[in-house]
Amino acid sequence: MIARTVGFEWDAFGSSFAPLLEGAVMTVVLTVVVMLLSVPIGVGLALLRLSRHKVVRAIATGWVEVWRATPVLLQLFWVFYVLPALTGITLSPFLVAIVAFTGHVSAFLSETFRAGIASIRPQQRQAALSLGMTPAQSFIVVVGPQAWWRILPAFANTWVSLFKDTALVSTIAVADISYIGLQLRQETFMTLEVLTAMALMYLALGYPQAKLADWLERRFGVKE
Amino acid sequence: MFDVFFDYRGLFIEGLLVTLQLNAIVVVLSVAGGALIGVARHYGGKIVRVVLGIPVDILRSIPLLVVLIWVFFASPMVFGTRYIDPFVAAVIGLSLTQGAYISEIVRGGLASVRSTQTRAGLALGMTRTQVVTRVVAPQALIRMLPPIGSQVAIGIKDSTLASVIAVPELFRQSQIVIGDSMQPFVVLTTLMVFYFVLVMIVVRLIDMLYTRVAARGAS
Amino acid sequence: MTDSLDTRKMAMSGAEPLVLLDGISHAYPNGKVSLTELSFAVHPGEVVCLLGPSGSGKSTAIRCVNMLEPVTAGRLVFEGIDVTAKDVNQVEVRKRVGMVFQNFELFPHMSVLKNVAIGPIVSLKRPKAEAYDLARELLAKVGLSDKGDVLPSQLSGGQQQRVAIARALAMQPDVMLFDEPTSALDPEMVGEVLAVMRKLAEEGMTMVVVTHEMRFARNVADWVVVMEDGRLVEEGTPERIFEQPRMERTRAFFGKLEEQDGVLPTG
Repeated sequence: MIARTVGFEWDAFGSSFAPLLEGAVMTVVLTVVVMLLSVPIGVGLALLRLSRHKVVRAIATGWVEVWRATPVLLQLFWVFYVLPALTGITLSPFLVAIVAFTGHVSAFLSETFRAGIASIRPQQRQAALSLGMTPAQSFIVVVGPQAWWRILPAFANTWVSLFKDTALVSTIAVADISYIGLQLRQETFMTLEVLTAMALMYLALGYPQAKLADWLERRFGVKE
Repeated sequence: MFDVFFDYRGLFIEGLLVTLQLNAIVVVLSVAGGALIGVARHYGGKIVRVVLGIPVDILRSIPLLVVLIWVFFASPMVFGTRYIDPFVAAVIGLSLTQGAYISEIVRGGLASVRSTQTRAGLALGMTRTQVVTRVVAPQALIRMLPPIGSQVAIGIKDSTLASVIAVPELFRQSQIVIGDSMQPFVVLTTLMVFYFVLVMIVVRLIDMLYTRVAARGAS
Repeated sequence: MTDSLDTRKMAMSGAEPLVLLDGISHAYPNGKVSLTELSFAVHPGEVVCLLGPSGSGKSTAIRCVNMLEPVTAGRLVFEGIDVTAKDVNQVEVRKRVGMVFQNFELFPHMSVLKNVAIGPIVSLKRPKAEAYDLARELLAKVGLSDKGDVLPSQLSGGQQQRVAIARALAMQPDVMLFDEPTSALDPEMVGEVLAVMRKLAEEGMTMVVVTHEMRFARNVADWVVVMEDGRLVEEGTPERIFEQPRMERTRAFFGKLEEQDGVLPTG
């Protein structure tokens, strides 16, 4: 099958993992930081979208739709090139990645949160209110905890998507797994070995996450 | 301000055509392939389900960018060709990834039709095949419409990643124009609008189609 | 009102109404009018049943009482205070009004015991131990002392509704509102819920009950209000309403019920 003049260089393959692991730290850091920022922003956007004021609702919905319906790669480049031109602030590539992905993920999460909250019957809130709870208490004690279990599967899927999408930061020179993999390939010319190691690195990290998300979907996903 | 689009119209038109071609081919291949694998995994018994599940799970765990890079740079070495056309690599990478997700949607859609529907069909004297083609598949198909629509929309957005392996699609051409004209703002913003509109059109079309048939899918 | 059948014990005793609907109107945000100048009173210790065809506004009327629906016109007086006034604290009023819903609306993510205790804990800031003691006491009262640790979904509909009654009672309310409490139940479970309600009535709880259970209205209510199309058709003692309905629309409503399943009690 493998019709190369030189066979598969197992040494080159094996020695790729140490540098790739350093990239993995960056990938994980990006994923975690973006998620930590996106959850509160997503909740805020969801609440704005459930607001009583039409204008607030429309602006929040428009914002979310734009982030949801445009390519994340384009968003990354837009923040990279256009934001400095508009605001005069030049961000490091790492911060560009954080800003762009937070915009992207918080928009998706806000839709997940909004749908989760909307899926709880309004009578549940009324029952809480009729027990003398304030609107805030009825959200925290009754609606929120129920919505959480509806939200969890979609949240997990967003997490997995984010983890994979962070590979795009290699296009703006943030040293994640894919950036280091591509660098390594250029330095060593061991294309097949390095790129296969890179794919395996992602598989090792991504597979458990994807399976966990699948399990959450089966366990808590809304069935008819 | 918008002169840039006139000045570089050749690049943009080529990019637009490549983007549309790429997406059209990927939609056809991924829906057909995904349907095949999804059906096989649902009806094929344990071995088929597990074996076909391996590539599906691998493709769902690895970033598309990595798949594209691997197909473009590494796969020619496995198959002993020195080179693969970027467009072909993009078609393969995108179709594989999209197909994996669509196969899961198809499998889930088939599983979501209650087993009592199958029994009702059998009770009417239908054969197993008739039950599948007349009762289960039509309902499942309708339920799959919205998630497949979202997946196609994801595919359109993800097709910009083909730029990374130098496929002369819209985003790649735009980067060339930006490098030459130094007008990132107008080009990138217009591109945002373009993809937004394209994705919205696809989403709305699927929505409209779905609302027309939704009631027939709810057993 | 000289008719002896129409004397109202509580009103005669000169007590102030606990709840007074004084010409209230209500419309939904889409403009659909659901209540038009509705007036009736509920005196302390009284059981008032609201009867009428579905869509007549009965449920909306009691939802207005604890301000789950905003009144668009008229006055709603609770314990002498006009609660439609702008500066009234809705939360404080709701703490004194218990409500039981058609579909129970127990909180599915909490144990049965916690469902009953959660109101006192969150709204009244009672110590947890005290709230749970009260909850256990109330579960015993509705005959479910052994079900405290299970989730609501593990109970039958009738049991869930009894828990819902205990949950509302835990707030030690001054009045209990029942919004078609037996409409979502299988027929064989209606009795157990009505028995709990009857016991409450005998203990002197003030109750407003929207119901289709004519026998309950006939035997337990002190006062009956008949509604149609968001308006009051007539009101009176159950004896008078059931035996000598004055309005044609009341007779038509009873006639339809009798046609359906012959549930009209004759006394």
